Amino acid sequence: MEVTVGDVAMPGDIIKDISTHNTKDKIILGPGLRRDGEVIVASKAGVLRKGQSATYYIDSYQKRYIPNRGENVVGIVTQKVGDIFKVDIAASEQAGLSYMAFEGASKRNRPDVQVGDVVFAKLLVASKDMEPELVCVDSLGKKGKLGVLSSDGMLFTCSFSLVRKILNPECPLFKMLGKEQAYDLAVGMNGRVWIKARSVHETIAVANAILAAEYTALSEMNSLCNRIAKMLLQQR
Amino acid sequence: MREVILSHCEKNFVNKAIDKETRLDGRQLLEARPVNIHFGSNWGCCIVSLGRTKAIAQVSCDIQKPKASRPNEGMLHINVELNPMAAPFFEAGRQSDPSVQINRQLERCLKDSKCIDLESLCIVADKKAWNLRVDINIINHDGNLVDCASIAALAALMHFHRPDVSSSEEEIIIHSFAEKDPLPLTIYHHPVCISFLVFENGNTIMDPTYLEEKVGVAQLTMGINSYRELCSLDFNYLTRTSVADVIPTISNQAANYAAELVSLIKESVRQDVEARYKKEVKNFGRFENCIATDKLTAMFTDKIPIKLSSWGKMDDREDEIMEDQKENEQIIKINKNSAELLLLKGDLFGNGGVNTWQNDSSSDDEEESSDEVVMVEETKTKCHVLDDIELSEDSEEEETQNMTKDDIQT
Repeated sequence: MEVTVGDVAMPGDIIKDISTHNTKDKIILGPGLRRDGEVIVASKAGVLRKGQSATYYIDSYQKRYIPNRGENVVGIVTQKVGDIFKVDIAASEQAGLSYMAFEGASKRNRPDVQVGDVVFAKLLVASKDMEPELVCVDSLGKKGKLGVLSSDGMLFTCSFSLVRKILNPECPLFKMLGKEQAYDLAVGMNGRVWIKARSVHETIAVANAILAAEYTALSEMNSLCNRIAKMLLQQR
Repeated sequence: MREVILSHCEKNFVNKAIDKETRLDGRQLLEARPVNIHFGSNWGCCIVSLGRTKAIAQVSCDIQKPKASRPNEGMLHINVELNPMAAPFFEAGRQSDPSVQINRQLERCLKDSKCIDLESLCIVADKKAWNLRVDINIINHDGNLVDCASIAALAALMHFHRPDVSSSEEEIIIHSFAEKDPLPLTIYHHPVCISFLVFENGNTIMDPTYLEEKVGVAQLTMGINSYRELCSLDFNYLTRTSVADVIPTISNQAANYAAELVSLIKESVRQDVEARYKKEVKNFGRFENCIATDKLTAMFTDKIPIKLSSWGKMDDREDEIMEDQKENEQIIKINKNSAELLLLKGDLFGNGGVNTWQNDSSSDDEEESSDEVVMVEETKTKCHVLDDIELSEDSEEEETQNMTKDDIQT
């Protein structure tokens, strides 16, 4: 079947718009699309979208993480092997995190990371043939927002489409939630979200709001936040 | 694929929440998740969902030689399978530790409690008897597999019908379903497994989820039938806790819930079996109905694993009010200026929108209820006090209340 931008594409569908495109400017194929000889076919099920200029991708619902270079992820430290920590980032393979990849770390001054800790880290290496590698510093050696997350928080998982939705700068959810509650939050592109709020109830409330956001339009975020705030007041 | 280890923050948070008697999915400590049963096209086939845990069960039968030790009884085999579909860390085609454990618990609950009349399954003593086999596949793992599997097994056994058999000298004829009506199994009593989980601080919860199971320190599974009789007991602990500490607090709840659950299973089996007897086309409780054609409506509740306890209730209230509105719509249709109103409501319905009415109505409800309370007080006191207070008047109750109080004091 042939599909055009805005349609629901199924794996194997031929993308019509691009294949007949005949200009000199480059076409960029995003996730879920691949070239098969002369034609472009979809490899995922979802909505075909067109980004800026000639960028095409498929907006799909997915829960299985495939590491991408430069993405921030939330992982759980599962093992200490010599100089590196093994971190579960919900991908097919565990990622490595060197103990030198923390701010101010040296051979003498090892960072305090235990098995079972949750870390917020950036993917430095992510190729299909190699083990992914994480770092907790930026190129200047500063940690920024990366590092070990406090064990007082809560961890939960959600779909990638929700992660993309709430991380979109146009999404007003976090700002609106922040008016009512104080909270710390780390959202990983691997579908893991870590939250820390003042109390158990507030933490659950924020998690509830984030998960409910998947089924809420951007224009209705306000009423969602109001509902959550009202429920919190009732429980107190 | 290995199971992801439990992080410190998950463990701390669940323990902290249980300390405060809250659960992540908004349930009470001793509250189970909703149970749904759907039947397939064959006899003895059902899907059971317990929250997000799902199990599928199929009963099948064939004729075998009975065991030498019990020559006049049929046989019952229970087989639970955990495959990677349930959770990626289960391995396919291998009997793993948890699957053996669940298998054994179900055997004790269903087989050792002798709830099924196996003697009626014997055709020719010492020669031929029906061999029943219950296959249970877990298709989604969100904790408490035992309960889900036991409900599925019981529902499938209650639903199952075996072909009729007539024996005439040395020869047995198995009649097809077209020739003779199939026969249901004889079931004496209906045991179900009910699981509890104990936490470090001693709090006990019912029907644990996957995350809670990882955090808890002791798990107790009771097989109870609808007559409040204990059929099996399984206590599995990491730290030293004794069964005696746990059982008194939950046994009553377990028995009550078991009775409730069994009546739910009985009812759904009865409805489906009756529909089949009458050869009706039933459009609920079948496999095709268990796949909800979800609309992506606002505030969709079922798929949210973490929620406040009042989250669902608010939704219910909204639904009720929405229904009211629907009715209103019908009434308004007669009026002339209805077109605009209808459009507005059409937008609100499903899309959510800013619900200004919700606030008012809820507060109204509260007011009404408080009014009712006052009314009751009034009537009570009226019995003692000789004075006649006009009940019919709803207004100015506070005054009347004051009056009655004065009367009592004097």
